[in-house]
Amino acid sequence: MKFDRYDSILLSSLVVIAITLVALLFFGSQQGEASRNPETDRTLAQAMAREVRTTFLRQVYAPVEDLVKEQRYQQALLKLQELERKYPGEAHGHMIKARVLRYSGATEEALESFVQGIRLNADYIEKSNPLSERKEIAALVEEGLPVFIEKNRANPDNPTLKRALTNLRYLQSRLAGGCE
Amino acid sequence: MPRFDRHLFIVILTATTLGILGVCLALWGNPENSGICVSCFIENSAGALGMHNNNRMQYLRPELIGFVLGAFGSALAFREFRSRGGSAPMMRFLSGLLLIIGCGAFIGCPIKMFLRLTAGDLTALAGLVGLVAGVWAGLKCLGGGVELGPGTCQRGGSGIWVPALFMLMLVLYFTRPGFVIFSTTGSAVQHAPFVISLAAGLVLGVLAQRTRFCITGGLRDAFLIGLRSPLAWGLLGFFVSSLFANILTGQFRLGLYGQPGSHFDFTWSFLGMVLVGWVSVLIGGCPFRQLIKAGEGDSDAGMVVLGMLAGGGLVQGWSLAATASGVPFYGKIAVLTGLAIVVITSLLFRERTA
Repeated sequence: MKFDRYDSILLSSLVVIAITLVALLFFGSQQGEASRNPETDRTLAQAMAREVRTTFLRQVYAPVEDLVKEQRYQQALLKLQELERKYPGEAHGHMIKARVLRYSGATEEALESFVQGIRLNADYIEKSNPLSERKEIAALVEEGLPVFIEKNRANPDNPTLKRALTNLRYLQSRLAGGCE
Repeated sequence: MPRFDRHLFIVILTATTLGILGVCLALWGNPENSGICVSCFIENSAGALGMHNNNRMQYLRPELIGFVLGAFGSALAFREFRSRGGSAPMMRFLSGLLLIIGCGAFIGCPIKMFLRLTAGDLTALAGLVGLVAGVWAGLKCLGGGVELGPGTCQRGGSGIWVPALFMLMLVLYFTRPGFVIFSTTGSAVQHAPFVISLAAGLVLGVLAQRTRFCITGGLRDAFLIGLRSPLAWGLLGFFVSSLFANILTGQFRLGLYGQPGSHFDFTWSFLGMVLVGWVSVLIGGCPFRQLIKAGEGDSDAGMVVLGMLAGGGLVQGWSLAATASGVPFYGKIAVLTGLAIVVITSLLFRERTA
């Protein structure tokens, strides 16, 4: 292969571009031009949104949590209904409702509510999430599974029991993890 | 049984390494039963590059980078790197997209399907049957004269751009500019240490380049020449090694229920994998093989890889991918549309003899 003037010009241009690129990357990062811009830094934006969301939800649902602590479950459920009208589609209400229902002994309804919440926002199953309900769900699955398997065996035609078992299986699978 | 020569040995070595690393990577930090999953990794990487906004699936998976760069290095070292391509580029791009749609319905690529199965996940059986049926359908199409056309040697080094893209991904992994996103929640947070992931990818990239290892290729050969094919033995080796690795590491849990990343929409798992098997045979390899071929300079496979990346963005961005609650409505529509596209392609690309 023979190099002519045309090749030399192109190769020289390439070298100049490469040097400029390296210099820009080096000096740009030193002068802060390549530093993270909060408007374009999406990881930062996500982290901030998550923090804001956590604080907001804690504030909004604080009265409900207080009622739960005082074991005033009926009032808590009424307050949750009110908040659900205000923030439809918000998973947090479903998670608290599930807990309240569980404490009230309504296991089937608690399962349904947990499943609705997790489907809306799977972060509640994550260990690292500050609002995580993983422990609560794991405990419910552990104690509920043998009970509902037995109940379903005894009443194979009962759709409510069948639904509860399906919900338990779903939560069991979510707890197991996987890539989704 | 084929003659036990160097090639068969290296195929079995590749398959065994894939099986063991597939299990061990999950043990070292990757999501459960997802030590290696090309479709999951593609969806994660597409998310990291801002192609979708599912903040649970954004991470530049080093294994994926390793597959392509390992194959690239190996092809260069053994003087097998050749820029080639030019066969139905748009169809190949679309095929990449369809591969990820099919994998999304099942939750995993063919490699993950075997990893799930060997971890005792019986829900993956529907996917296995689907993949076998898809490969069979693809073979029938090939037998009927369907061919996307041969690739030719390309001028201008078209084959270097996909390895260059993955090299850029490696640079982005280190430099982490603001437009690259790394999830802080969800399955994308689960990952093995970077060095281990990249090394595993590079080793598998080199081995797969040397052996042409391919999951659907193994099934295809098993249909055509039975166990005389080294690839079929490779598939068997992959299955056995991952099964033993899962048992030895305590990750084997036989059952239908409570399996990680699985669902009970068996029909859609089946159809998703039919789509993957069928498309893979028509384009000459499973998603993993497409990455390896792209690393060797095959720009046709490069188009499939670009299609897979676009598919990764689409499947997550449009919520087409299945979750533990099953395959979403539009995911089902996408699978059926994909199957329709494959049927139409098979009709249009058929060489008819007079």
